[in-house]
Amino acid sequence: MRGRAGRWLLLIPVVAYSVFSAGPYVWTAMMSLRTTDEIYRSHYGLPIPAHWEKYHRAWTEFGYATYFRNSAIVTVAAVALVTVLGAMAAFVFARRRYAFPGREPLFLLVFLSIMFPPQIMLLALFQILVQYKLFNTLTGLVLVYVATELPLTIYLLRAFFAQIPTELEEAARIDGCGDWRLFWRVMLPMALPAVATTVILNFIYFWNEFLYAVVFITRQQSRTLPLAIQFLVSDQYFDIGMLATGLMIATLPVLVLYLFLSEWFVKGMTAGAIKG
Amino acid sequence: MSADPAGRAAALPRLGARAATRRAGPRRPWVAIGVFLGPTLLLYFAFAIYPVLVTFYNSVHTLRMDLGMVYEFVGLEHFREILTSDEVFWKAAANSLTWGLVAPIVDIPLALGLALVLHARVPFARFFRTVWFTPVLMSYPVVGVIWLWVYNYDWGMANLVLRAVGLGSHAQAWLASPTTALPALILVTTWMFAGFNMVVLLAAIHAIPGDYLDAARVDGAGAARRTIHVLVPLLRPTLVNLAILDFIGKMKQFALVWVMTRGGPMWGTETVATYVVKRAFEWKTLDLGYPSAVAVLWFVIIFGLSYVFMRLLQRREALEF
Amino acid sequence: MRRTTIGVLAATLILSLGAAGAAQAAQLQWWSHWAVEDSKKAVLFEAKRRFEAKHPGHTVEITFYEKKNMWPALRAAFTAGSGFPDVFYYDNDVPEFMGAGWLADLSQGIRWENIEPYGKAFWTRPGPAGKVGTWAIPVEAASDEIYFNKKLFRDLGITVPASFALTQDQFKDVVAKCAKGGYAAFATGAADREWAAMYIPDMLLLSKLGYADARKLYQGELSWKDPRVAEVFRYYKELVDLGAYAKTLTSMTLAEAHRYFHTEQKACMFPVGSWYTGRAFVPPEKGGQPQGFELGLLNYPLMKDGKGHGEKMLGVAGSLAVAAKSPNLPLAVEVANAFADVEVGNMWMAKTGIQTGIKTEPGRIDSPIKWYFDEFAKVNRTSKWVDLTAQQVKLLMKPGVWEVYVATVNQGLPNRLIGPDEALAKLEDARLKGK
Repeated sequence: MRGRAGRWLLLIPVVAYSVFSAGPYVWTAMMSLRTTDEIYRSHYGLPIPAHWEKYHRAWTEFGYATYFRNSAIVTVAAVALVTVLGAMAAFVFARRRYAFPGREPLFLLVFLSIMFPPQIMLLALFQILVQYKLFNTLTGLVLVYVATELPLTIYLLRAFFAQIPTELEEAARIDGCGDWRLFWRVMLPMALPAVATTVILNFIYFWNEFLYAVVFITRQQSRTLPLAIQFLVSDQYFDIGMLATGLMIATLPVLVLYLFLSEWFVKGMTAGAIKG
Repeated sequence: MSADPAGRAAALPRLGARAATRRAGPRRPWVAIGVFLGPTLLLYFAFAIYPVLVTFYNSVHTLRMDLGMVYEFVGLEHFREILTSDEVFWKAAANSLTWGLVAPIVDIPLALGLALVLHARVPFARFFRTVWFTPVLMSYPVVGVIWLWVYNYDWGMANLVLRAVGLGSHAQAWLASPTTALPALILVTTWMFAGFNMVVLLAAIHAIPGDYLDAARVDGAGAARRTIHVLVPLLRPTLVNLAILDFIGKMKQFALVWVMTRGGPMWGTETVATYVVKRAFEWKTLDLGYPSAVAVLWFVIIFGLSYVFMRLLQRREALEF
Repeated sequence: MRRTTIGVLAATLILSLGAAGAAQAAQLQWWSHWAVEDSKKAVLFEAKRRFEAKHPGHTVEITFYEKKNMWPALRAAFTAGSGFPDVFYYDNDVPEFMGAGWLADLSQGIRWENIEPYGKAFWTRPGPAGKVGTWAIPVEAASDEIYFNKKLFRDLGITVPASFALTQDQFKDVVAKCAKGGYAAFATGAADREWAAMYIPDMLLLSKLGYADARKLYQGELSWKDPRVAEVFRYYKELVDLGAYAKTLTSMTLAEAHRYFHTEQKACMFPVGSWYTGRAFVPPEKGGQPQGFELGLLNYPLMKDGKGHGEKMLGVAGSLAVAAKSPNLPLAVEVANAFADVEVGNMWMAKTGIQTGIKTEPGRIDSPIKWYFDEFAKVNRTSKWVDLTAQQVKLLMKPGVWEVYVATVNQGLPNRLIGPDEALAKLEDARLKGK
């Protein structure tokens, strides 16, 4: 494969897979710029002329502005919380200094819940939210999201913290760093690539979460984007064009985020976060 | 070890020193542990552990939503019914298990192949990486709608391609038959996650110290042999982790089915997760106990199988616990 | 970085808490289906306007849902005892709400003299602990109809008899002609309605068994192995095998099925509730039928030796219920009461073209769709209405049986996945196991 020709030959399967991979969403992107009538006339026509105004219409008439805002609030708050809390907990789980009795079983317990089918916790969670007057609030949704993604976040960051050499920790302590400062000033900055990885993973998950949102949010004004899509799908299905526009609006933010952070993401993975 | 005062005396300071370090070093920083771990545990117990415990409790009761949620103890009756006379559960379990086993077998080698191709410095590698990763950025409702269109009988992409390459006679309503519906959905999750797994593997490949490969190259191993005999074994822990996470994810699969087929046709795509939600929120029985029992049972099965796979597939590199 | 993180956190938490605090009790909450049916929404807004005019200071906020999504939310809210609306859309999909005690008894406080007696009777049933009450206001009533495309029938050389009812053999012939012409016989889409493909089999069962025995069958008092039932299922299977349904049956939604029938015109007939008009009689750009579309109606096919010839299904459909635990119960009942008005009934008929459980004065209804009322009356002049619809079958079935009926009749049979005997065996199993 060292030869130039070999590298270009590899392009054949690569392009073939790319067609399979990109085909569906490129098609959707094209439909998002066409009217439903145009689409029904020819499902694979090019978006000429491009109806950019559909994005404006979706934004204003179909309430996407509100749904977008809700999704943004929930996602940013939940990512911030889960990152800070998860990193602090992972730090304690990772470093020998904090090895209190029962730490390993506790970690196992946290990790176990990755396997629990979330559907059935719905009602118990629902009752808790109602009890604390968090039902139908974005706050309640944020807290549930944080709790569900803590295990994976802790798991990924713990592996990273565990790799940081003890010497570094000791050096910082000799310099007079307490636990708090050691964490914020030394450990967390070192873990930034891994943190970036969890931020992206969690951002994608929260932005797209559907199951909890559908039960915990019943007010129209509090709906997040996946909910809005679901509501539009069932009754405005015939309006394929508008639906495609909505799908794009719901996807673009994560796509942009990924484009900006993808190098960090790969670096974080490389740094051993996933190596386990 | 006889009476040797000198020896004993010589030993004393060492003993004393050890005792001193034991006292000073491992004195646990409880305050720090509390500050760092406290909020997480609080949140975690309130919003994860407690609901799980409630679910276990529910599973040995009937819990009628219409009768003011009064608990009536039934022991293991639900479990007996599930295991002996609930055909739909077995159908759903078979589907979920199929999904859980087939998906890693397809996804992981595909992802590895893609990662190796990109690693071979194919032109425009960054571009392709982004293209392949994009599907996982979409939510299940979005993916579900797009693929409903792809599988549309009249104008969907799947049949379009078949007709274009002269296989028009194979064009069919992919979601209308239980024999094709489940494979069609499995393909969707593969489409979603292949790129993601690829990126993780690519990262793992980059993390392998260059010396290993260089050494192999010096030994005169060809590219293919280097890949199979050096690279893949080095990636084994990552591959196993990804496979197990894939397995767990597919065993819990809910949203895609909910958006695309709702478990139909004829229970052909019913998963345990959709069955649980249907029993809890759609059946006229209004009983939460029975679906809780299904969930508990399924949890035990997922946990048991994951454990077995980890033991079988991993040598030393356990999931770090 | 830390300070900004915390700042963002605090800001978002306060923001979201603020959003929660805005929901004040002074405002009544009303959840409704019919998100995209503008003609029905116009009537709802009229009722809201009347209520607000009569009770100054109090307001009503209507939130529109697709009902498939609304039921789980309602169930969860009622179970948890909070977060539910004061007033909400209600229908046959969730009969268990009545027994659960989640609905307020409306036998007092409603001007029942303005409601058709059959409509009131329909929702007067045993509630919690068997106590009889009246649980909802019947706004929409609908009959199960077979709409057809007159132009396609002409093109295919199909003639409709003066009774608008085809015999068993004629009906099969129509299906065959449509299929041969490259059309689906029925424009059914079963993707988002679990009863969408049940219309024809339910009509055939009614025609064969008659109302009394059909009810017994659904209630589990008559075996699915009854030879008459088997005959219907085998006949129905012949229709399916002729190509009665589109290949897109499973992926087509209800809204799409409408379009398939009247805009794309790829099917001859559309068996569906008479609420067809709610989606069809709106401007074409909103999904309505195109100008000049020739809509006709048929009566049910006449099965050989059938006991139910001439019988037709009519039942209460979309209704309005009040939450028993609403903190504003008297006001909420007043919202429902706003519907118990002949003027509202007239408006409903004129706007939607669908029957209603509210009393109307047909003479005073002036509507652009008068031609449809005339057509409807002509076809149904001898119809013997029976109190049942395809959607209401669920009401009669025991838990577990309906799910099997959906899997076999809405999915298995029309998709040619199973034969009639296998379907009946599964149904009989479920009947014997039903609790």
